[in-house]
Amino acid sequence: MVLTRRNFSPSGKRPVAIARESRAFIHKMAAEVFPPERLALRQPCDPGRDGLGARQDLAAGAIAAAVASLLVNWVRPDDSTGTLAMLLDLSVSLWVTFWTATYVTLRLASVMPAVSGWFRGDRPRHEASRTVGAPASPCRAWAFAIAISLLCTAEWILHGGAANPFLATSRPEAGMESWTNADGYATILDGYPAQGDGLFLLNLLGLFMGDRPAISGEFDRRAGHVYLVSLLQAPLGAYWAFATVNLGAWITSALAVWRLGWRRWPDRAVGEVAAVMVATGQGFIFMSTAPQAHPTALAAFAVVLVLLDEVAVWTARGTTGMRAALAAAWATGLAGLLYFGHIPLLLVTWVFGAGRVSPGILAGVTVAALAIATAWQWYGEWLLGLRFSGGNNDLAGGAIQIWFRILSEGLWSFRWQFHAGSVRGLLVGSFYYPWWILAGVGLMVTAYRARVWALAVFVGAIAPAIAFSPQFRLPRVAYFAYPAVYLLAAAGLVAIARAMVPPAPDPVAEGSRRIARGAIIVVGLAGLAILTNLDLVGNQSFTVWFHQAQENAW
Amino acid sequence: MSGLHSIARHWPWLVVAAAVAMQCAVASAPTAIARGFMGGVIGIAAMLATEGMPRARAAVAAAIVIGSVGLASGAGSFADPPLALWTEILHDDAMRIHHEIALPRTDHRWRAGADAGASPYLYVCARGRLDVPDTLDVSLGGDSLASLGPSMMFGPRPQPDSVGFYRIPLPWARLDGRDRISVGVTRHAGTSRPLEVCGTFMAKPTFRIDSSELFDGAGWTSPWVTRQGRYQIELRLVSDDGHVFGAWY
Repeated sequence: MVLTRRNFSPSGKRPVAIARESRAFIHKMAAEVFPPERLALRQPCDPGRDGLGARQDLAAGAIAAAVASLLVNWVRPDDSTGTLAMLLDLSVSLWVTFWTATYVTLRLASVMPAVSGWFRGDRPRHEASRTVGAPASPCRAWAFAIAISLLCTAEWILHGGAANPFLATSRPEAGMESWTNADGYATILDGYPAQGDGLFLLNLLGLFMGDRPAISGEFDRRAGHVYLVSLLQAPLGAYWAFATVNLGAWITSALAVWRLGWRRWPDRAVGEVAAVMVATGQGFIFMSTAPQAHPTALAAFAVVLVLLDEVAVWTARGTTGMRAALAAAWATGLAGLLYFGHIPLLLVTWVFGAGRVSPGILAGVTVAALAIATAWQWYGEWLLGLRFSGGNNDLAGGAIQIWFRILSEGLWSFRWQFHAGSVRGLLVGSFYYPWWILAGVGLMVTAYRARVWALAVFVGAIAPAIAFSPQFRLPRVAYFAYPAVYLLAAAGLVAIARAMVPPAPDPVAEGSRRIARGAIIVVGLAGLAILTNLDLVGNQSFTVWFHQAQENAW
Repeated sequence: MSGLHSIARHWPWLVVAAAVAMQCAVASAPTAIARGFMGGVIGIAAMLATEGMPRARAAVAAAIVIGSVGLASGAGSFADPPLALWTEILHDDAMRIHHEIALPRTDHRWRAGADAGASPYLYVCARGRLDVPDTLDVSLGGDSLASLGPSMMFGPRPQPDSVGFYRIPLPWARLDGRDRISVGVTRHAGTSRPLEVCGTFMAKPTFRIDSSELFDGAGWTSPWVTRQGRYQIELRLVSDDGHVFGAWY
């Protein structure tokens, strides 16, 4: 006999009633076994259940591989394909560029239900507001914060003054410049040698200090940074004011990345390891005491990422959502007054926010942020007579013009650009291979919630660097990706340690295993720190690559 | 009561606004305009960002107040750095430049270069394309070393009248047994026009802070005294493939 809803009724109840009771029972059990909090942690859109085809990043990878292959094989051969090393360099550069472009496109297109349906696993969901990997106790948090601050300070001291890599790489022995004298591209601030571009900030500093009239300079758009410096100039002097702002930014960046880590990665160690990577990071070491806006802008980038989470811009609705959007817009606009940090931040906001936040809110944040950054230009031109043109003020516009020219010259010229301005060399200059390998491992083991966020931060940061590459290959611009790269690399390092020493069910055995995993992580971090500190023993390879990219060399 | 409640809730806003206003009130119009914009934008950003975080908001407000007090009460002036590039015009045959360099024999870069078989060179920065007879003569310890010529030009030189280095080979034998070298630069005999030698700031001399000197026909003066600077005359160790082990002055 075949059981049907009609004939199977052991309790004598009608099938409809049984079904209703069954559903109620299942819901009750589910609520007990999987409380709502835990259900959210299960991450229902985990791609593991949907297969590779459900992930936008992998789909973008396949599309990028196809486009790169077409460009490598269909366009006539030239020097860029002459050797295997050149061919690989070109292929990676093309792949990374098209992967970034495709991923951004797919993420933005996900707001359309039709496109969203293609990638069930990566369908944008409303972000759960939670902290999953917070420090175990306030004491531990304070101890770690103090330790990180001391580590940043030690690196800042070691790489300060004449040892500042931004300055040191411009000396003749670094092999990068042939026109500089023995001191490199330098200026002397308060008796201390400092990176030469600092000279061009002094007129703005003089304006904020009330010492000089408004005089146009190379960095009029970065006046927010100079204003912060001016708050410290009177007690500290110009050199130490610039240097102290950099140190504050460095520490802030490390703590912000720590915060981002504990918010999104369930393993507390990920944020801590990433914070150490920031404290010993190539970009901050390179800048150390240089009188430049980059460290402040890098810090602003990470702080605004924290802020976007803290004000719940991804989840808040109604009046709270509007306030969150206003805070996000204002902070993003402010980042644009330091350097061009508002551009990667807006990209992150769109790529991660598409599908989570209404397009109207995203557009409002964009317009308001750009308005704040642009308002300084109008205000400065109108009331102060600053010109906002010439030198570094015009570089972004120049890059766009070069792209138009390249595209007008055809596919050969387009492909050649990826050889002449190797994107692989740019990214390896920002973060050397070990970080990329660890980040790749981290990407594989990181679950949806953190992975999609990290990829959004990553593409938001590297897309402007790639767009700017025909003008200059500047790893310091691609270094805006540091929160994503370091957190993924930290996740990779933690995962490797776990794979080498798996957790034990026995608490006693687990205690010693935890120490072993900690030792593996410490050794890994020490190895990475040695690479970024090689300049202290006279090896400027990494700092030179960070200064001007690795070009086509591997 | 509600008024007091509102003040208690919004006091950081008021404090930040007062701090920015104070910065502007004590400054000239252009400075007040610039400070007002940046202080306003940063202050509002700080307050919006710390909504719902009273301790963080109080800390940020306090930081802005401290910075504002420092800015408003500061002397407001700072010294210009010494010029990174200037030139000394040799318009007379009696004028001569003298620069002493202590040989950095204990410097690890010097030892590495010497061990690697690198060669010493003197680098002299001058304006324009120099050639006999309108050129400069370089001497070492009073003995003639070379007259600068186009074959010694080194590095980028986009314009005929721009400044750039001339590179003069220096035999190791000329350095043997010496603790320091004394480089002289004069106009070549028969030169018909003024010639310019570059100068820059002084940061890390090998010998003395005033080891660069100019004889103007009447007496010696150091550019350290007049410009906090030196003449761009440097000793470098360079390998055959062009790698510079170090540069000293």
